[in-house]
This record gives sequence, C-alpha cells and structure tokens, in this order.
Amino acid sequence: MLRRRPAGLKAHQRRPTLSGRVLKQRSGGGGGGTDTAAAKMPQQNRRAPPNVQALRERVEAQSKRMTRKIRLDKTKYDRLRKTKSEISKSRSKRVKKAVAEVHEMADKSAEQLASAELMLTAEPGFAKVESVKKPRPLSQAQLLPHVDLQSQQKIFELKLDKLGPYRLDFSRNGQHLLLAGQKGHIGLMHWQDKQLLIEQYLNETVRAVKFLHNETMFAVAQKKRIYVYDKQGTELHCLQDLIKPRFLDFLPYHWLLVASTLSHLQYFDSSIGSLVWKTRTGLAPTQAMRQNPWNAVMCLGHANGVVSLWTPNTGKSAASILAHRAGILSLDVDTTGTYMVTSSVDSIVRVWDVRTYKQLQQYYLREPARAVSISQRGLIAAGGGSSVTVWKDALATHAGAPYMTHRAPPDSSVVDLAFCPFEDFLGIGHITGYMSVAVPGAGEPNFDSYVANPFETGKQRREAEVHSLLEKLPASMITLDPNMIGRIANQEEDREQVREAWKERVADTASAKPETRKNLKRQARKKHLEKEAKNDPRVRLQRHEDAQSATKAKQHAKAKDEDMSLSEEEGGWYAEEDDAEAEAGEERPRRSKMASALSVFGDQKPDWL
Amino acid sequence: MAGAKAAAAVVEKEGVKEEQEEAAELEKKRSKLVQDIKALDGPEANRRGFRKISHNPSQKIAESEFQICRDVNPKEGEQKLGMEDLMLPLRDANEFHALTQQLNKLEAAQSTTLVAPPAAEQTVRENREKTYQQVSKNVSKWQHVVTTNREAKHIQFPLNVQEQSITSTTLVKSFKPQTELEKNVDEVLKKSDLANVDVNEKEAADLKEEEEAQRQTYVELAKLRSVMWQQEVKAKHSAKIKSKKYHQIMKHAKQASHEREVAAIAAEDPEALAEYQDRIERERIKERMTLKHKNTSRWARNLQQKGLTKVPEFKKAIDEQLRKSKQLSEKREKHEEDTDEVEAEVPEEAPVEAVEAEEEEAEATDVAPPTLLTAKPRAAAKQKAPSEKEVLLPSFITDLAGGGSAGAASSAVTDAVAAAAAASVEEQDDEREEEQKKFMAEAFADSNAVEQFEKEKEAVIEEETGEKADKDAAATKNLPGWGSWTGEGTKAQKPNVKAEEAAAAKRKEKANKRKDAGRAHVIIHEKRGVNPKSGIYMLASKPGGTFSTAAQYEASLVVPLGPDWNTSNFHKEVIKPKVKVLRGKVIKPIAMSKRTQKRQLQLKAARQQQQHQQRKPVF
Repeated sequence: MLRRRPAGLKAHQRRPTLSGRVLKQRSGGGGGGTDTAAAKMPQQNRRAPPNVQALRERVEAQSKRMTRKIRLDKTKYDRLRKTKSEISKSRSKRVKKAVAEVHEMADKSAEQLASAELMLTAEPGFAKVESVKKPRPLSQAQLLPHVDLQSQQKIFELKLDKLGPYRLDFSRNGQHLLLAGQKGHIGLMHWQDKQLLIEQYLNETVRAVKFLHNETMFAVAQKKRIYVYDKQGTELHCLQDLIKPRFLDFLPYHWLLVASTLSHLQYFDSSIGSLVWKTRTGLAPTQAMRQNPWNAVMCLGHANGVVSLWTPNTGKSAASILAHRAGILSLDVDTTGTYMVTSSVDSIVRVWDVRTYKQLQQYYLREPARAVSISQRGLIAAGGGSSVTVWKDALATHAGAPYMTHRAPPDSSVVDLAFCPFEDFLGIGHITGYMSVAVPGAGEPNFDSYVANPFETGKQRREAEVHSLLEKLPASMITLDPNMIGRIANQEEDREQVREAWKERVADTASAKPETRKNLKRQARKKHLEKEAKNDPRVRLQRHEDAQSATKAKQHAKAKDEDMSLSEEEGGWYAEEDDAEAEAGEERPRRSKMASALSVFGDQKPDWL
Repeated sequence: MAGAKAAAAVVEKEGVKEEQEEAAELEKKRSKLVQDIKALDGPEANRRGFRKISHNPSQKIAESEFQICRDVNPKEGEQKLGMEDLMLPLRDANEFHALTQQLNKLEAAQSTTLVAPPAAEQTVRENREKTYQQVSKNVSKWQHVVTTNREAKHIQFPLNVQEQSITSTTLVKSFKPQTELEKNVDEVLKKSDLANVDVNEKEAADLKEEEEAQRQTYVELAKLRSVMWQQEVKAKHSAKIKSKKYHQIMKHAKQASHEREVAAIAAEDPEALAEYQDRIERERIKERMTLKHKNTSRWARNLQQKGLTKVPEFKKAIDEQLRKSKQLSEKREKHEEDTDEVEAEVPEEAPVEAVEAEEEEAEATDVAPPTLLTAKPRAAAKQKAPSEKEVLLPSFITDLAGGGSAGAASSAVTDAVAAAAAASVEEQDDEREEEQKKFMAEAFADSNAVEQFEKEKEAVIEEETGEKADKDAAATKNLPGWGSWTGEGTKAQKPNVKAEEAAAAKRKEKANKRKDAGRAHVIIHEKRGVNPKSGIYMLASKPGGTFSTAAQYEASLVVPLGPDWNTSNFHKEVIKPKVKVLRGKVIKPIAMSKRTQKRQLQLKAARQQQQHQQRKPVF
C-alpha cells in the first residue's frame, strides 16, 4: 500500500520519532488507509525541545524575504564615510552647524544619485552555466548559440600574417579600433560595423599606438620618433624629443601624451604640442607602462620585477613596489584606481591594492602572460603564448576556475589585449592578426556621456573637445592622492613646502611681464637671437666637441665603476633593445590587407567557432 | 450749628470717642465762624480793602455755581468754605447720602499733593524712551523673519510666491474632459464610481497593511529567536553536565517514555506499531548486510591508511559510527502479530541511492558539534583566511621568510581534514599550482631582485632620514689624522658611542614612522608627497573669510557641487544665487503673515519657558 505525505509537512522537514531518529516519509499518492496510522505516530513529544534546525531555516527564510525588498543603496555615494571622523571633532556651535549642513547636503546628494539609478535601464550580467557542479571555462563556440545576431557579428578574426605582431587600442567610447602591426602596418576602423577608415604602411617599426583625446587623432611610436596622425592618416606632428619610444599612453583630463623608452619617461602636452616634463627613470629597463585612471599616475613595470609610480613633478618615482621576482611583462590598473594587475616572466599574475600596495591575489598560469587587462566591470584577462584566460570576481576575492578561455592560432602568440569600453568584447592582438571575442559582463552597460559617449555625433564630439580643453588640468596637479588638492597640509614640513611653493608662484606672477605688443616683440627677438647663436657653426662645433669629450669621460668613468655587476646587467638589458626589432617595410603590399581580411570575414567564420 | 450736628449724625456709626472729638472740632469751627462774621465789620477788613459783605449775601451778589459768597482767603485759624457747607442745603434731598459718599471718595483721592511738573528737557527724554520701548516692541516681532531671511541660502523676491510645480496630482485635479472620448471615459468612470477613488489613499492603506504585516513578522521572528536562544542555552548546559548518574537517569527516562509510547500506540493502532517495528527490522537487516557503519567506507579506510584514527576528532567520529551500527543491528523484540502481509504490501519506497545519500547526510551531521546553531559546514575548514602577514607581503617574500602556508600545528588538523575530504579535482589544481610554485622558485632562485630592492630601500631611508649625511660627515671626521693629534704618545680617540647610539635610535624611530615601514616590498618617497609644483594646490593654513575653523573649511569640500558628480536637480539647487528677483513682478513691502505671527507666539512661549527653567534651582 502506498502512503501519502501528510498535508502541511514538507519533504525536508524531518519528524523525530520513537527512537529520536529520523523516520523517512514515503512519497507518492495512493490509498489513504494507513495515512491515519502515520499521522498517529508520535510526531513530536510535547516536552521535547522544538526542532531548532527547522526554526533556524524558518528564521533564515523570513529574513531573506525581508531583505529582498528593494532599497535605495546610498552607500555607494556616501561621501562622508571617509571624512566623518575628521570633521565632527569641533565643539564650536558655528562649526557644528556648518558640519551638520554638509551632512545634510551629502545625504541629499547621495539619495538623489541613488534614486537616479532608476534611469540606468541596462543591467550588467554574466554568462552563467546551469546544472553543472564544477563550472568550466566557457569557450566562444559554446557561447555563440546563446548570443544575439548583432553580437555574433562582433566575434571575428582578422588574419594578418605578414606584418604582425599586432598591438591595439580602443577609443575611449569603444567605437574605434586602432591596430598596429610591428612591421609598420597601421589601420583605423570603426570596428563594430567593420568599416576600415584608414590603412597605412609606414615602412618602419611600430611599437605602440594610442588614440589621443578622441578618434580623430592618434599617436604612433615608430622606430625613432613619435608621430601624430589624424583620422585621414595625415601626419600632423613629429615629436623630436624622445628617441626610440616603446610605450604610449594618454591622460585625457590633462591632455598629456606619455611616452616611455626603456630608460626615459616623457610627458607631452597634446593640446599645445610641447614637452611638459622628462626624466630618466634610473631603474631597470621599462617593459610595461599603463596609467592609473583615478589619479593619472603612470605605472611602469621594470625588468627587475619592480613597478614604479610616476608623477610629472618629481625627479624620481613617487613610490615603487617589488611586485615579482622576475621581470614584469605587463600591467593594468582598474578604472577606480583600486586594483593593479601585474604579470611576470614567472607565469604569475598578481592583483594588488594600489592604494595600500598590498598583494591581494595571485594566479598561476601555464605560460607567462604577455598582456593583462582589467575590464570596466572588473574582469581580468591575461594572454600569453597562444592562450587567453579571463577571470571573474578575481580582484577582491580569489577566483577558482577561470570564467572563459580562448586560444589564439597555434602558430601564433598573444602580444596585446584590451577590453573594449562599454562593450562585452575583448580585443586580442597576436602575431598573425587580431581576434575579437565576446566576454559577457565585461563592459559597463550604462555609459556617462560626460565621460565617453558611444553614440556621439560629430557635433557632440567637437563640443566635448572644446569642453575638455577648457577644463584641462595642469600637469602639476597630478599627485598620488588627488584628495589632497584643496586641503590644508597637516604636517609642518608639508606646510613649509606649501608656503614655499606659494612664494615662488607669487614671485613668478609678479615678475611676468604683461603681454603687450612691445613685450611680445622683444621676446620674439630674443628668441631669434638665441636660435641664431645656437646655430652659429663655431658654437655648434664647440658644442659637438664638448659633447664627445663628455661621453668619452662618462664611458671611461662607467667602466671604472665599482658596481660592475649592475652596469653589466643594465648593459645586457639595454643591449637586447634592438635584437627583437623586425626588419620592417621590406615590401609594400599592393592590396589593403585589412580590407581583404575584413572582406574575408563576411564569408567565413573563424576556425575556433 | 444745626448743620454741624447733622453732619455729626451722619457719622453716627462711629465710636463715642470719635463723636466727642468731632463735637469739639465742630465747636471750634463754630467759634471760628462767629469770629469771621464779626471780623467782617471790623477795621482789619477795611484796611485790607475788602468790600463789606452784608449779612444777607443774597441781597448784594447773586449766588451761582460761579460765585461763592465767601471769603476765599481766610485768615489764620479761620475755617475755609468746605464742601459740606455747600452740601448743607441738600441735606433733606433723597440722593444726599449717595452724594456724600461720592464726595468722601473724591476727597480721599485728592488728599495727595500734586507733584510739580518736570523740566521740559526731561519730559522730552522720557517721551523718547517710552516711544523707543514701544517701537522696539513692535519691531522685535520681525526678529525671527529677519534672521531666517538672513540665514536663508536662497531668497526670492517677491516673497511668498510659491512656484507651482506640476505634479501628477495637480494635473489630475485640474483635468477637465473636453473631447468626446474624454467625456465618454469620464462618464464611464463616474458611473462605475472609479473617479472618486483616491489612489494615494489606497496606496497609503496598502502600505500600512504591508508595514503591519512586516511588523508582525518581526515580532514572530523575535519570538523564534528567543526560543532558539533558550534551547541553545539549555543544550549547552546539559552538554556540560558530567554526572554519570544524571545521564543514567536521563537514559532510563527516555527508555521508559519510549516504551510507554509504544505501548500506547500498540493499544491504539497495532498496525502502525507493526509497521514501525517492521521498518526497524529492515534497517537492521540492511545494516548487517552492508556493514555501512562498521567503518568500511572509503573515508574510514583512508583514515586507517593514513594512521589518523587516533586523532581525537576522527576517533570520535569513528566511535559514533560504531555506536550507530550497534544501535541499528541490535535485535529488538517484535510485536506478536506477524507482519508478513505488511511486508508484502510495502514496496521499496525510494531508490537505494537516495536512501544512501540521505544517510550520508546524517553521517555528516553526526560529526558536527553538539549545537546546530554553532555548526559550520565542513567546507569552511578548508577556506583558510589569509593571515595578516600573508596579506601584507607578497607571497614570494613570505616564502623567503621560511614561514610558508603550512607548518602551524593548529592548521595540521584542518589540512588533514581537507586531505581526507578528497576533493580530487581541486587537489589536482593545487598540486599543479604547488609544482609550478616550486618550479618557478627554482627557476628564479638566483634572482637577486629582493636583495637589490632591499638595498635600494635602505639607501632611500638613509637619504630621507638624514643618515647618509650623518655618515658622510662621520666618514670625513673619522679619517685618521683629521681633527686629532697623532704621533707617538697620543691616544687614539674613542668614538662617542653614546651619541652615535642616540642618533641611530632617532633614525630608527624616523624609519619606523615611515609610510612604508614594515612593508619590505614597498618604497614610498615621502619627501615627494608635497612637491614644489603641486604645493600650490594645497593650503598651509585655514583660509580666512567665512570659515572660522579648518574643520569647517574641510567640511565645505566634502560634497562637490558640480553637475558631473550630482543629479541636475541637486546641482541646480546648490548653485542657486543668494537673492533672486523675479522679473516684472511688483515687490510689496513685507507684511506679517498669520504664520509668522503664530511662530512669533511660539517662540515667545518657548523663551518664557526657558527663562522659567533657568530660574529653577538646580540641585
């Protein structure tokens, strides 16, 4: 005879019975004859304690239900959190009132901002595999059937096997892609509809490319100098100061183009085209460079495993971290300026808290990651050899298995990676071309058009350009802690320095002559005379001789230097500089490579799909 | 005389003494009057130039209210013409009594002498003071209005013009159906009585209901929690009892109650009992066949192989299993009635896997600590929280230090548990990671990155703490032959150890205060914190003006006002000008509104109360 479960008793609720052990309920329907019998079993002794487990479950379920209610989450916008302890100390009534006002304002502001989140209609989300005990990394082939048609079009591959390896850069609004083959191949495209805007063969080595303030201008680190091109591919400018540039970056709020060689770091103001600051790092060769978007501090990764942080105000680095025991290959900092990811020759990827310089996580790879990147929503991508690995929730917490993996062609090797802003796509530059793969949940779904607008029209772009120029921040404003700006220095030494800086500033402004016509003329004449004097053949000859003798003396001194080991090593490091350099520009292909690669894509899918 | 008597009669009520006095006085007056009358004809009167008044005054001057026929300036000792004299003729009138009383009152009032009028100047001043008081009283009514307007962040003229904001409710209220369709809809709404439903009210009611429900849930939860807590306390207490006797008694009681229950059921429903016993029997058979709790499982075998059976935790778990086995396989007396029928009828209720799974679960709970509330899932043991040191320093540095992750005696058990749990895949991953760790450590064993970095850091600290300068100075100072006599017979100068030690301690203190102190892998160049260029973006002291303290200034920086960091509404609100004058509007003089008056009264009351409280003695 089959038994039915008594009404009101769920399967998971166990009934203590005679011996105090668990009596299993029978499942299934049927005759009710013995149903009564089961009900008559002593279910629960009255004196016996209530089932604590069941109580616990009930309490938990109830509390969960209650917390599920949607509330305004103001904590994200709470500006007082940090300063609260600082400003509530005073006893003065007036100050208290002022402080109370600030509190009120901050609260109101946070509340309004939180409630304005209602307007953000797009919701971020990640791909999730159901009914699998141990999640395995997703592949593109697995993902493809679940992706909408428009996005399917954005998963593609460009086979460019002659002029690689390819490095890339996305414009700030994620609409444009700049590809640069090391052997002098440059292409600018509107990548989402695969519209090639320009393609150039430069006939010399290209080591890095970077968009300037918008997609209309970009800088290219070529064999000897940095060149600036416009959207039509016209050469606009050549920066003479830096020789053999390796890395480029652009600070959009300061309009600074930052360039680095193995040993030097320079800042150019891209709005007026002048050199702002330059220095010799005095450290091991630079192998990676990336900005911290929060405070505009440049992070340089060196061949001895050190990451140094630079502001264009001091003679030396502001701080340095020994991040790895082996040379650093690549690094990236997230948009909030909290996390830094470094990869090294020792096949380890480490996550750091850049504010406290603490190591948070580390991940072991099979091959060293040549490139790492953090997406807007905090995914980490690391690519080395022929594989690319993406981790989710891997910054603050330790991620177990990777979220996604992808493989470059077996004969190729990944050299550059970048997440496309505001899109769920990852651009991979490798030796034989470029790949665009989907990474669900990578990009920020809700853009702020004050910062970057993916749907920008030409007029909006021009307007944003003017706004940005008017709001340009001076390079001197870059500090490790931008919160210090406008505050009162709290240490006596700092105060002294502040006073001195002000004195200098006042003296400068006092001595500055007004820009009258006469003064300008005088200045121009002075400049002209200086230039003439500089170009005087006698002076030039003298200078040449001086320079030669100086270098000789230097070399002599260096050879005699006690610390031979270091200098040898340095020499070794720098000697490698040109070994890897490819012989570029041997031949100029007749047909556009990128255009053909793009056209090929229309017909056939990549192998990995 | 008669008049005087009459007057005396009026005050009859007075005491006898008074009467006598009065009589004496009257006598005095009478004699004076006689004298006066006599004097009228005397030489003295003539000399003074007084006209002679005839004894019958009515004959000479007509007596009226303007003319009293009497000497106005009586001589010394003479009686003046009094009011009572004038009243005499009215003695017999009806209102005489009332009139006299009035007169008495008047007399009493006039008895005080008038003060001489003050000087003009003083009068003016006094007037001014009075006026000032009056005016200030009037003006102080506006005190509150003025202060609020002065303190207001934004004020708009004309005052009290409310900007009508368009909300859904105002729109609904002002809506009038105009088109045909609208009219139809309106009609339908009216008919169905939907037009009068106040949405807000309904929502409010719903909200209230919801709140009530929520409150009830809270109460229920609180009750449940308290019950749970009590149970927990009880369980803890009973678990602590070590008395054998107690446990024995408890066991017996349990057994007895069990038997009683069985007997009761047997009496009531023999079928149920039979079923129960049958189940027990089947469980016994199953246990004997599978030897499930005889520690034959892979887990138990693993433990035996690894020799972990004597670890107290595992021993306890194994014993528990054995106890369970014993309990299950124990032969029990069966009810007399045979249950073959039942056995035949009852099919296998669930697949074996399910049963096993459930029993495994039971196993898991068996190992758990006594109270369920304090129980933690097993997996938690594996998740080791990284220690402070591990977080602070990169792992390769901790590796160098020789600490490593394992090693601590306390973690050995958890490690063993993790191993026993045998999560094979993760183990493999871990192994791979470990292997790679070792491999990489070997590969970069000769890398002197750490040592070089340490050296560099030392140099930076030396430079920034001034140690380097000290050393340089010391080096030149301590050059042999410098600053001291040399040659035969001179003693070598002893270095000043104390001073050096003190300096070293000072430097060490400085070094310990550095931001990068205790972090071997970081160098922070502190002197570049505030550099000459970015110095101008900071302040050396509090700015003057509206800020009375530095704290107030810093507070003003907390909330940014710009549109990039705020909603447009908030931004508009915070950048409103202090005063805004609406165009094309007449600005009328300010008037005291009822609200202000009310506020005024409230303030006054509050003030009075405060004063009252202040007056109270404080103990």
